Amino acid sequence: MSTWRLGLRLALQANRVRLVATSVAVSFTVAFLLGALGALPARQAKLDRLDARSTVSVGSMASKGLPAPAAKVLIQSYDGWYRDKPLTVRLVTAEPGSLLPPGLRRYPLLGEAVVSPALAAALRSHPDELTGRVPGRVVGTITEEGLAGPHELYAYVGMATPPEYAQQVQSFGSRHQSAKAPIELRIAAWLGALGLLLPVLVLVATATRLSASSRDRRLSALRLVGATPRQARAISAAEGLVAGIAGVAGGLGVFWVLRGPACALLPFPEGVYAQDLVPGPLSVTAVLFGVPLLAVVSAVVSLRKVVLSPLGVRRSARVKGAGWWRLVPVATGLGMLVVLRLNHQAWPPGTPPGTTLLLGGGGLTLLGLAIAAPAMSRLGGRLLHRLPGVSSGLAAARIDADPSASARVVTGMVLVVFAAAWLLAFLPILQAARVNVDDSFLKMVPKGTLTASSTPHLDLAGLRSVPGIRSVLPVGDDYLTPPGWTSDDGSRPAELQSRSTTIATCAGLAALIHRDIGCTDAKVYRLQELPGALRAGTEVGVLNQAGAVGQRIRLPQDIPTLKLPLGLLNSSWVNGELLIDPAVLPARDSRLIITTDGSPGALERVRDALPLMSAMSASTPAEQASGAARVYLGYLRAVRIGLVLALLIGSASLAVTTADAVHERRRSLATLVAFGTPLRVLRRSVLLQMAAPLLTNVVGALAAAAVASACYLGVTQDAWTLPWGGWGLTALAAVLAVLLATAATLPLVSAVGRPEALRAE
Amino acid sequence: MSVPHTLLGLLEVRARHGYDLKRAYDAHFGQDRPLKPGQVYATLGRLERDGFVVVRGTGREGGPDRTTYAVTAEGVTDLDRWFAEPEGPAAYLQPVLFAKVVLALQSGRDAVQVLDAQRAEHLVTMRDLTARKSGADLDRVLGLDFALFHLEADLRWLEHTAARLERLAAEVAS
Amino acid sequence: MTEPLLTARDLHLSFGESSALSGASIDVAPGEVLALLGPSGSGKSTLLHCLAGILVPDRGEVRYRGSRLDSLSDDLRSELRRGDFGFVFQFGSLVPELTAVENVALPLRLSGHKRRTAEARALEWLERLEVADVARKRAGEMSGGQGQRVAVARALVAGPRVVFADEPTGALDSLNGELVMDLLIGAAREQGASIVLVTHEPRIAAYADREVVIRDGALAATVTA
Repeated sequence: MSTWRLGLRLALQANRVRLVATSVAVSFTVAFLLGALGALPARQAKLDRLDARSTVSVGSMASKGLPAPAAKVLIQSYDGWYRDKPLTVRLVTAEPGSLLPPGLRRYPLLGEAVVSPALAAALRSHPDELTGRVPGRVVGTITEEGLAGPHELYAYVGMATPPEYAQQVQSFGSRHQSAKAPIELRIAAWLGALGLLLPVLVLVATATRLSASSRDRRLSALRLVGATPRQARAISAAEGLVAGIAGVAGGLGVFWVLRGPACALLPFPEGVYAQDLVPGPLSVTAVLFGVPLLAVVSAVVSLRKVVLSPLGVRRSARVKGAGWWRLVPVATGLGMLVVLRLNHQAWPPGTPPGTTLLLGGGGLTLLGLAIAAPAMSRLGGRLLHRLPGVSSGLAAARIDADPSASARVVTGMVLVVFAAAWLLAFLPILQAARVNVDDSFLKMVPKGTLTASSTPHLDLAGLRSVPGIRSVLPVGDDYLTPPGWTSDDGSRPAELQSRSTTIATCAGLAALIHRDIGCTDAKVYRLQELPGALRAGTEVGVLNQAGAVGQRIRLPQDIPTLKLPLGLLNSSWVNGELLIDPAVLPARDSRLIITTDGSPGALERVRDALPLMSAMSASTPAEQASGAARVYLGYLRAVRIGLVLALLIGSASLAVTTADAVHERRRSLATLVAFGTPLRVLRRSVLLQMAAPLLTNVVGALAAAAVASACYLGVTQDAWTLPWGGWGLTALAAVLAVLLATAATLPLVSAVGRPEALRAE
Repeated sequence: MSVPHTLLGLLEVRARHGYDLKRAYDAHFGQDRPLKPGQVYATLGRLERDGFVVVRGTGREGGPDRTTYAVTAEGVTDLDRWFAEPEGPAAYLQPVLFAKVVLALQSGRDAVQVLDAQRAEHLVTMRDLTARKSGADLDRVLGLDFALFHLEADLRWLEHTAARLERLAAEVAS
Repeated sequence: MTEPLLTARDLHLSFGESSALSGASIDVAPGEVLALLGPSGSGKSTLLHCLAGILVPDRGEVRYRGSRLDSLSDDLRSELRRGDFGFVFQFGSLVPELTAVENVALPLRLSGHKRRTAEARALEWLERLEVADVARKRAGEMSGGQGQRVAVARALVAGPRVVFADEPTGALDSLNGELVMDLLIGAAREQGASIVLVTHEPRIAAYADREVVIRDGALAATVTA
C-alpha cells in the first residue's frame, strides 16, 4: 500500500511535465473515443425522429381497422433541392384539433408557413429565391423533435383546400422499431473504430513512455536502494493510474466542450445535433475504465528492462532486432491472399480453405505490417544515408541506431493508411450495387441545367424572363403504335408493340449539349435502329392516357438517323425510337429542360418561378447523382472523418514523441549547436528522421494494400478498379500530417539547443 | 612551521607577556605540539635581539612577575614581508599556512591575498613540474608526479580554506 | 606583447535572478594556453561560453581578432564556431548515434567537405590521438578516455585557432585525464591554436601558460610565469 502512495507522490511531484503530457494524451483519447462511439447512437436518434414524423395514411395497411380521426389533416409532401441541399415542403390542410407531427405546435393556415431554423435563415438571406416554394408568412419554427438535423430544410405550408394527391393522416410515426443499422454500416463503423483505436493505443502507450530515461533513472535508483521489481511496477502503475484518472476527467471535459463545435464541422447535409452524440452506457463504461487501464498496463509493460536491473541506465550499445525476417509475416499474409486469388474457383469464400485464406491472409498482412515496420524504417535510414548532406547523415544514424523507436512512432500512421486504403478499395462495391448514374450523361450536360416536370398551362414566356435563364426546352413523350391496331395489347408480338418517342425540336436538343447531332429540316428523326413497327411512310396511332389509339399521324417517307452521343439516349432527356418535332405532334405530358448561367441564385430563381410541383421536381444532374449516391457518399464521408480523426490522433502522438525525443537528446543537440551546427541543419535532420521511415513504411503499406485489395476484389467481384487517386491522397495526407506534427516541435529544437543544456545534468 | 613569525604575529594583535603568548599559540596552532615555555622565551630573546620586539614593561598581577612584549616598527615590516611572500613549495606546509591565515585575519590583513599569493606560487611550480614531465623518463615522471600530487593537495586545502574564510574569521574573532 | 586573439571586456551576464558574470575581462593571446580556475558556480563555464560566442553577454564586449563577436548574428557566430573554434566538453561531446569517425568528420561535413575526404581526415586525427581502433564504434561502445580523445580529435580536425575545453578531464581518472591533456596540448601547440581551458583541478590547470582564477563571476587573480 505504501508503495502505491510513494508512486502517487512521485507521480505528482517528480515529473509533472510527464504527468501532464500523459493526462492530455489520455484526455484526447477519451474524448475521441466517446465521439466515435457516439456516432451510432446519433444516427439512431436521427432515424427515430425521421420515423416519428412520417405519416400513416387513413386506409393504409398500418391503419387497418382503426377509425379515422375525427379532425381531419391532409398532407402532401414534396422533396426537392435548394442550393445543393435537400428541401422538403409539406402542404397541409388541417381541421382544428387535429393530430400534430413532432416539432410543430400548430398547423399553418392558408398564407402561413412553419419552417425549420435553417430554412428560416435561407428565407431571410435569399428572400427572392424561396417564396414560390414556401409561400406565406413564416409564423413559427419547427423544433428539434421534428427535424433530422440542425441544417435540414423543412417546411409546413398551409393550404385552404387539400392538394390534389394529399392523403388523410391516420397517425404520425410508424411506431415500428426502426431497423438496426445495416450490416455494412456496422462493419464500417467497427472497422473505423478499430482504425481509430490503433493510433489511440499508440498515443496512450507513447505518452506513458515519455521521458523514459529520466523515469528509468529514478526507478533504477529505487531498485538500487532495495525496491523489489514488484514495487517498482507498482510505482509505475500508480503513475499511470494518476494520469489515467486525470485524463478521463479531462477527456470528459474536452468531449463536453468540443462536442458542439465538432458536430457543427461534420459534413452531413442535415447537420448533427450535438445532444444526439451520446455514447451508450456500455461504451462510456468501457472507455472510462478501459483507457486508464490501458495507461497503467502500458506504463508497466514499458518497464521490463528497468525492473530487471538496478543498473537500469545501460550503455547505448547497438540495438539489434530489425532484421529482414520481419518481412516474413506480411509476405506470408499476402502470399495467402495470392494463393486464394489463383484458386478462387476451387475455394470460393465460404468454403473453409477460402475463408481461412481470406481472413488469415488479411489479418496476417495487417499484423505483419506492424512487425515489418522496424525493418522498413531501417531501409528508410539506409536510403537516407546515401543522400549527401549532414542533416540526412545525422537522421540516418539516429534511425539506424534504433529502428524500432523510429518504427514505433510511425506504426500507428501506417496502419491507418493501410486500413483507409483497404476501405477505399472496398467501398465502391457498395456504390456499384446501389447506384446507376450514367457518368457520360452527367459529363455532357452543362452545369446549371435543370430538368423539371412540366404542369399544364405553364407560363413559358414569364419563365424565360427570369434573370440568369438561357433557354427553356419543352420535351414530351408519347407512345406510337403501328397501323392496324386500335388499342395497346400486351399479347401482340414484340415487333408490333407500341414504341415510345421523344417529342422535342432537334435544334433545341443540339443546342443543349453544344454538339452537331445531325439535325436537318426533317421533323421526324430515328433515335436508334430497331426492327419493327414504326416504318417510314406509314400511318401510326398515338396512344391516349386510357391506352387507346386517339390521334393518328403519318410518318414521313424519309427519316434520318441522329448521331446521339453515348449516354444521351435513354437518359432522362431522350428515349424511345423516334424524335418528333412538336409541330408534328404536340407534346402531351411534357418536361422542361432549362439552362441557366449556372449561378446558384439563377437556379433558385428559376425554380421559384415554376409551380410548386415542377419546382420541387427540378434538379440538376449533379443533384440527381448526389441523391442517388447518397448512401455511398455517406460511407465515404464516414471514412474521411475517421481518417482525419485517426490522422489527428496519430499526429498528436507523433508530436509528443518527437518533442520528448528532442528533449531527451538536448545535451547532444546543445553540443552540436555549440560547435557551430546551424539550427536549420538540426531541424532538417529531425524532419528527415521522421520522414524517411514514414515514406518507406507508407509505400510498403500501400503496396500491401494494393496486393490485398486486388486479391480480395478479384475473388469477390467481376469488375473492379483500384482507387490509386484516393490512395495517393491518403498517403499524402498521412505524410503531410506527420511532417506538420514534426514541424510543430521544431521550435523546441531551437529552445533545447541553447547552451544552458550543456550545464545541467 | 615558523614559530618566530607566529609569535610576532600574535604580538602584533596585542602586546602580551610570555605565558599569555604561549597560551594563545597553543590554542590556535599547538594542539598537537604545544610550545615549551623555554622555547617561548628563547624565541622572544632572539626577536628582541633582532629589534623586532621590545619589552613594554614588567607587572605582577597576583602571581609571578610578568614581562610584557610588543612589536616594533621593524617587526611589523618583517611581518608584512612574511605575509606577502608565499612559502616555498615544501612538504608539510599546512601549519605555517594556517598560522598565516589566522594571523592575517586577527591582524586585519587581507587573508585572501595571502591565499592567492600562495596559490600562484604553487601553480607556477606545478606548471614547471608539468612542463618537465614531457619527454622525461618514466622514473623521473613518477617522481615529478609525486611532487605534483602533493602540491595539488596543498592547493585543495587552500581552496577549501578560501571558501570558508568568513567562518574562520568569525571563529578567530570570538 | 602581440595583439590578443580574443578579448573580453567587463562582461556581465545573469540567468534570471542569479548573476553568472559580473565584470569579467580577459585577453587570450595567439597560441596561448589559458586556464580558467575556480570553484563550481564561479562563472568560469559561462565566461568560456561568452568567449566562444555560444552565449551573448548582457553587457560588455567580446572581440575576436579585433572585431565584435557579441553583436554578430546567430548564424555568423555559428559559422565562426564551426570554422575557427573547436570544443571539448566534459559530457556528451559526441553524438551518440554516430561512429567515432563520423563524429570527427562532422565539423568538416558542416563546412561543406565531401563525406569521403572528411572521413579520411577524421581517420588521420583518430590515428594521431591513438584511437583509430574505435573509429567505427559509437560513443556508447567506447571507454570514457577514448570518447574524450575522439572529442579532442573532433575539436582539432577543422584546424581551429582556439580550442575551448570545459572540464575536458572531469569525468576521467587522473592517468586518462593526463593522457587527454597531453594529446590536446601537444596537438594544439603543433597547430598554433590557443586553448581556453576551464577546470577546477590544479593539476590540469598546470598545463596552461597562464592561470586565471574566477570568483563570483569576475577575475580574482591571474598567475603568469
